[in-house]
Amino acid sequence: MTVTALPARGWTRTVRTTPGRLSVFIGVLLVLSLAWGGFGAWAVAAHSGAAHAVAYTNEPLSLRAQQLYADLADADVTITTAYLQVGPGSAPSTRGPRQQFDADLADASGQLAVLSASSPGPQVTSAVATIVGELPVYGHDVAIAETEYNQGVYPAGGSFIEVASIDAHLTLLPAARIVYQAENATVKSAEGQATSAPTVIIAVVLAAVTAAVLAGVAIWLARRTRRYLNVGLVVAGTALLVSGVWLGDAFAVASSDLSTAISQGAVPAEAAAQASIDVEAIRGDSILNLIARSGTPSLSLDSTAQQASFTALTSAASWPSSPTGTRARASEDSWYRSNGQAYQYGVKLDYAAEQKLVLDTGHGGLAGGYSDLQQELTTVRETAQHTFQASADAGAGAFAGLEVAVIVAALVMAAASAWGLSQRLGEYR
Amino acid sequence: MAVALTTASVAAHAAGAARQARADMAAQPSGTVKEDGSGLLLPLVQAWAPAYHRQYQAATVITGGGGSGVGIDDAISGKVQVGTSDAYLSSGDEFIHPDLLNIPLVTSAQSVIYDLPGVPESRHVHLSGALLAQMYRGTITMWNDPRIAALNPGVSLPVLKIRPVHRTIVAGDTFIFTQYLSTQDATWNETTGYGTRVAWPPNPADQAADGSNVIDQTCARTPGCVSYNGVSYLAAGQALGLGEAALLNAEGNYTLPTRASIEATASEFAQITPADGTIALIAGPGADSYPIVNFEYAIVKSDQPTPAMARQVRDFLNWVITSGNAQSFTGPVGFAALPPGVQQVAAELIARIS
Repeated sequence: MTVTALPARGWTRTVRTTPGRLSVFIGVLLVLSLAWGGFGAWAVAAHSGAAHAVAYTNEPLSLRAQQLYADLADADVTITTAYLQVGPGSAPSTRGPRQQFDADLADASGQLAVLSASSPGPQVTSAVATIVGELPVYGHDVAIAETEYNQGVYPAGGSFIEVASIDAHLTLLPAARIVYQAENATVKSAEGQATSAPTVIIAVVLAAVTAAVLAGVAIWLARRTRRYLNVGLVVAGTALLVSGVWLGDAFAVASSDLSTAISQGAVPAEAAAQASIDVEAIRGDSILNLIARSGTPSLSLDSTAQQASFTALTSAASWPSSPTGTRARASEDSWYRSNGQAYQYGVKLDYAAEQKLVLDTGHGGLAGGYSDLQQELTTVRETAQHTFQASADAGAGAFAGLEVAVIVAALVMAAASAWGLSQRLGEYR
Repeated sequence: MAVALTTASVAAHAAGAARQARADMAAQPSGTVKEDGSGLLLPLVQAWAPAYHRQYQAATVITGGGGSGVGIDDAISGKVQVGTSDAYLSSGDEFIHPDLLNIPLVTSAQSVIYDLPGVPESRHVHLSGALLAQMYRGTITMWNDPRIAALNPGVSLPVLKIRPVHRTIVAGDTFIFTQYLSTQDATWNETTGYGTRVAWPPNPADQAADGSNVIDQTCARTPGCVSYNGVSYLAAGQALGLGEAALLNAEGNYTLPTRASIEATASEFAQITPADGTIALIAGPGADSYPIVNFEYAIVKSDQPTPAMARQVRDFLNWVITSGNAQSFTGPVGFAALPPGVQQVAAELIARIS
């Protein structure tokens, strides 16, 4: 197969000839085939990568960030409520809570290690560094509190628990919230990339242009040579059709699956995760208010803000209407009322009643209500995550083998077009 | 106080604090610093102010009282640069105002005073936290109750009704007194608890009075009175005929709030005082400890409106924790200097004011 190089001066006259035009068509079809292969493969790789990242990287990291917050919040609530109950004439065992506290911080450290190693952006890096730097200080304050309590020096122990808890509220938990919000934003960005239309539209247009050129060349050739079937062009067209349909179908399937994963999985899972964080914050506020003994409304106001966030999440149309989702939505009202009652006790200086309500593990108490609500939110989140994972896996799998197929098809198109037209070109020599 | 305090950063802060203090004091202090708050600290602040002005004539300190609650509120609003308090900042205040610092200034203590005609001033009645809780609760109503007599062999206790006096305003004095009762009496801990204000148990013999001078005066005209007041008002109370109780400490000894016992108490906690200065010294260990000891705090915003104002505040507070802690100042009001380790904590906190 040879293509004769044409002198520049005779270019216009040569193109008007049949051999000249055949040469041009070969060049054009080569370019279009390679463009189709290159762009198509890139589009597949980009979408496949984004879908894969959503399913196997970004969403898991978001879950880890939410777990990090939960670990730190639970550690604070656990250790503070344990020592709130220690005093003259009352020395319940703190061994269990201390073990829970240690387990929470160990898990938090594990989450931090994974988040650090995931090459996060500057915001996450800075927040993780803050938590890593502050955890030893926090742990040290708790350790001193324990020592003082064990020696019966309850006020000093209490002041150190207060120092530790305010450290959690002002430094650790805000940093953990930043990590969660940043990872969540990354998930949303990846979701958008995985389902974006522009690259698909460009690929479709490119395929249509290539198909139109192929058809045009075939029609011109038939008129010129009175041969209606050029095998090369037919093979090229078939390769384009197969790869184009496959690509279009994969995009459609992946987009559908990912949309399902997002709408029925990620969105409610994120809502449940955020709701869980709000509940943790409300719980932490009520504990800190109990040990604050100042009657200031600051923590009550923060709880109210978290409650508004929680209500907005559970009232949204995307909130699951499953029995568990419905129960979680119903539980919040009674729990809010109880929280409000606890703050009222504090305002009235009835610290005994406030403590009793805040620490009550029965269903009517704040501790019990908190456990029930968190259990419901965990169930909602896990169910949604299961839906997400199943649909995201399917979406990521839709691109399997397609990148190679597009490249192979493009090479076939290029070779077949060139061969088919070269056969006709050869007849003019 | 939303600052990560790693070991490395604490060391860096210490070095920075020393540099800052040297730089500040190289130039003469000037300007005006306003203070109000703790009534317990007021007599000492009123001694500091003119002494500071005598040493640095371009610098002035305007003092006020009003109670710890006023000091905290006014520091938050910016009405004063330095609010003083007998109690460290509550976590509720810290949460909403993370830019506030609570800086230990000096070590003080609280006396339990009483009006018992016929009992000589030199014969300090022995009391315990558990008994005081019952007296305030109204379950011990007479001074000659056997439970009080058991602690005071050889003391002729009068047949007199116990008349507790308490504060109603937000008071650091109430915070440390009720903390003491909470550690000594389980019923008090479970029913009343502690705070800058508490719901005092219903006791028909109990009466309210606010202000350290008013407490002394009310007690002095109420035979059978028992109350709590800063040691800085002890001399004035004794001049009115009030007695001072020796309190039972954790080691089983009865102690008075002397300089030695206050220092002994504070030294037990000096090494563990955290970087933000928040620590309770109530009912601490030590054979010679006194059970109601506290640091007096300056409540200060770490971000001052201008660099000049920040400098003025740093200058004054650095002077307080050094020259102001001399025996010539603390002695007359019955206080003690900050332990060295706590002085370092205070210096590092002061260095953060900018």
